[in-house]
Amino acid sequence: MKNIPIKIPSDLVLSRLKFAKYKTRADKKILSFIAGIIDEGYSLIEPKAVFAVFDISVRCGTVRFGSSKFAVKSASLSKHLKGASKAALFACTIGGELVDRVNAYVKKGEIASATVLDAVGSEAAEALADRIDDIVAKNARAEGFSTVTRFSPGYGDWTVFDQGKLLNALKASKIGIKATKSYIMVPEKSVTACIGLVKSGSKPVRKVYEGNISKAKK
Amino acid sequence: MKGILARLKNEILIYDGALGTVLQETGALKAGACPEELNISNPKVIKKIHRDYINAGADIIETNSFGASKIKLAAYGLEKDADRINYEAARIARSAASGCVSRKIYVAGSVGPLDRQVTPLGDLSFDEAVKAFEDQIRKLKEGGCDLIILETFADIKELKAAVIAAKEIGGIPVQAQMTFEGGERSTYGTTPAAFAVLMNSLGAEIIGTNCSTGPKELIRAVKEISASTDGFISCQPNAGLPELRNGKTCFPETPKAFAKYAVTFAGLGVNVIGGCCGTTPEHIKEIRSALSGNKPAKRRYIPAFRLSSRTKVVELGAKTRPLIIGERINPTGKKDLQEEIKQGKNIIIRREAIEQTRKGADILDVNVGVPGTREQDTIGPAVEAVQGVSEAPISIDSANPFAVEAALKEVAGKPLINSVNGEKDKIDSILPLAKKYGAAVLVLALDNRGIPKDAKARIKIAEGVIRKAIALGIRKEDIIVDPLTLAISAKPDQAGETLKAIKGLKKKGFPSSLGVSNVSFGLPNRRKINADFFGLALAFGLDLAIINPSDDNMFWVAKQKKKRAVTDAGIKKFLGDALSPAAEASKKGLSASCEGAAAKDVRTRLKEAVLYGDKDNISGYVEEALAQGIAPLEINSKILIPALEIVGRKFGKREYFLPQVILSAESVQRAFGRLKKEIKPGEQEDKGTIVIATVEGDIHDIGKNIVISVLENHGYKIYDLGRGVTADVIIKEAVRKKADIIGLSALMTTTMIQMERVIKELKKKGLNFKTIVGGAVVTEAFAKEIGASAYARDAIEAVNIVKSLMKERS
Repeated sequence: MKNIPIKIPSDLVLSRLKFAKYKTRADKKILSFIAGIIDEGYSLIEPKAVFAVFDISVRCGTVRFGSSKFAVKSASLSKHLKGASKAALFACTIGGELVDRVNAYVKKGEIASATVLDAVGSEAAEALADRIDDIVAKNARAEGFSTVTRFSPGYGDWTVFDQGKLLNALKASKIGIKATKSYIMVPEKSVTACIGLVKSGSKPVRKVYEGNISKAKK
Repeated sequence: MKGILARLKNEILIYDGALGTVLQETGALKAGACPEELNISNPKVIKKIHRDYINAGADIIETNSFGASKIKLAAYGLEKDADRINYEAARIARSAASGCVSRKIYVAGSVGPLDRQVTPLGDLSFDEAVKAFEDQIRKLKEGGCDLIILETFADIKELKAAVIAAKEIGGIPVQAQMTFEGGERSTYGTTPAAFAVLMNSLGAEIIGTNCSTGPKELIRAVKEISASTDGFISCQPNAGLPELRNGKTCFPETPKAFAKYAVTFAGLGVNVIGGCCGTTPEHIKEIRSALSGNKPAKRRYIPAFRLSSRTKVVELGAKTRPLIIGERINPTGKKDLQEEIKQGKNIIIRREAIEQTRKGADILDVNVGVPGTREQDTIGPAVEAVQGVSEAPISIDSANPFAVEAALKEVAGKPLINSVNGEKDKIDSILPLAKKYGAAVLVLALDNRGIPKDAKARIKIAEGVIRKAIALGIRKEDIIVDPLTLAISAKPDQAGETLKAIKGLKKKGFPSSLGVSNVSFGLPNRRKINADFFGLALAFGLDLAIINPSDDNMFWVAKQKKKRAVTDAGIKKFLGDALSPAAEASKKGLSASCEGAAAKDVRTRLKEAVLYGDKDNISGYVEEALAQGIAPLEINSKILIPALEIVGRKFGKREYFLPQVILSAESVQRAFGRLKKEIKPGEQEDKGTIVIATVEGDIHDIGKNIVISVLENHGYKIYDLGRGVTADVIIKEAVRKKADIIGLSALMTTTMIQMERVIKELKKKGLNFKTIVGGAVVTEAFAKEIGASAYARDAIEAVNIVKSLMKERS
């Protein structure tokens, strides 16, 4: 998926910049400066994502994702996915342009612009992850599943060392995400996560064909 | 025998219900098996279901081919059998239909979404999608289908590909249906209105909705669709929202209750009614008896110029007139945009799209014509970029038919093509594209002889193009005429002809559009002239305007409903004003705020410049202070640093937040830049030297840069080693620079361990540098654990800690 429309939440950008709702006194000038950088952020982000749904098996603290070779040894993730028969993995990124601009600002000594734009990038990546979360949940609902909150490498005992393998399982290089030797994702503003899908009875289902096709893929 | 469309004019026809859920009940479909494969291995069971629905009263039966595209069948390894499966699907239904002698039964070839999504949602190209649909539809048609039903689509662009495929095969009516969650929007945000506007324009004969929810929720969707199309409407809801009872999925809507809704739909003017998931022959039987003798209610559809994006419809009406087309995505005269387009980037395009939409542009013009680039390669990504950040429909601005088609494929809605004119090759190349892709067109009133001098001749050219467009099947309301604005500096009499052409077009029922700002080309005071001409053009009946949405004057004019004289005198007055020598704008003195600032003492102004981060003016204040004889060191230590300390305290109390602190620091930086020239070497107090780096493996350095910026302004000498720096280099540099303190930053749990390595190495080498660590994941406890001298949570804390570390050293 490319060019996924997202809304950058300005309130979260402000709080990321340590804005305290009842204490901080910010004048119009600084707020319009930030609004300008948020606009700039919109022009710099290229939201892209990949996701895939797998049948999962959870045994002895290890989660296995369908027929892919990807498996995660994590008690926290195993616990988190309790009751789920499927799980979606996703990777998303806002692309590298925004970070390049942040670095260009740093070079010019415009640290304020760099800092605010960096915060905008982080919130854009979060908003994008929320959007993907939403799409996964909607698709899941159509198949008669409900979803549990997303869980990412680095949460609980799920090590970020799995980042590279997760990206491989999703072929995330197609959207330009890679992991460095120190397991940092490049572009910097990228998110990976796992969302559990639990069979539910009270949600609408898509035509029975769809269900059968996913069964056939088992 | 009457064709289905002819019958729909006076009758409500009844579709069958679910095939899949009924098929499951029969037990013929094994778990995990492909339902469409039964067309080959067990055609009897499929035919039996068709017959049951016919006996229940269905007029139209759907083939068992919803998931029979090659792409989808590949999931079962059946792609090689796709042609046969589709052909047989049609044959089985045809044979069941022929078995009914009492009435005519129509066979609808069912086509569902592909299993792969079209760009930008997935990686399937638009052309690949069209091809996949064409392959399937061709076989369904060969098998004897009377119409094609494209159903359960969630992505408008994929559905657009399917309709285009069906129209390319041609010869049979097309029914296009989307599925709307809760009856409101598709999964990807398309509203029923945005869907219907595009489908209407693509020429789908029957437009409607199916699946996703029960009948109650779809009432709203049907009403919205109804207002946006003059085509026939269809509705095939689920039998309510499914519930799990005793481990089995059940649909709660009983046949009788379901049939009541069918009557409601008939009252809304729905022409084709049936069922989706969970409905059975029983439901269809009840619908038949409830609708017996019912005729479709008359609907009120108002033809209007409408464009759509994936999520929004823009309509030309009394309340929305004039529609503003934002003109700024155009590289003419913009070197930075030209450069970006050459590099295949879209940053400026996205920024312009965002800004113009925010300013109030209704439609965004996209022009990427740069000499030396292939427009057909660059326009698609540009359209994609615009659609990614704006809901506004798109105007494709190109004279190159290849580029126009490339853009049309990317648009997830109904765009405007800007433009076609009276030249034969333009008519022959552009109009068929508008028809095929469901676009509106803007007709320029010129031909190969150029722009006619008078209004009548321009209207004549436009009428010629319009006749050809209508003959191709383009609707009259989808055509806009631009009677062309010429520069009055060269041809003053032409303004009147343009305005008269607008009036003449209006009389004939054609909306008009103008690129307004051409009028003032070569004249001073262009903004005023543009606004004046715009106001006059609106009075003459202008409907759309291609303008720069950042020009507030133009928006002010657009909102004014001021009546102006639609007379020759009005035109004369405009020309008189525009062509008279421009009065020089009065030069105002200093603004009140500037005067207020000037009244304050320079020390106060310097302090305030730091407190409010006024980096633009601070250098001037420093200059002034120096001129007044204030010593450079005094400016530094008595004004700037104390002001910075106030900023730090305000941050501590959370009265200030991070950007304020940094802007203050940047202001002081500027002031220092000036003061440095005045301070002699040795005069400046040596507060301490710090070597600072983001550790090996880590690429994040924004936090480190903030710390550097603040520390520097507090008078410390900083050596920034950058990011991803190895322990060896950090230590070597600290020794070389005779540092007092080493600052280390890390953002990741995977990289913060490198901090420990640096500290261990220092101990091993017996070097007693103070160390200060920080970064998102670093904590005080971690700092203690690895033996760092200190931990700082943020830049302001770092200043205080560095101060105390320096004291410890001395």
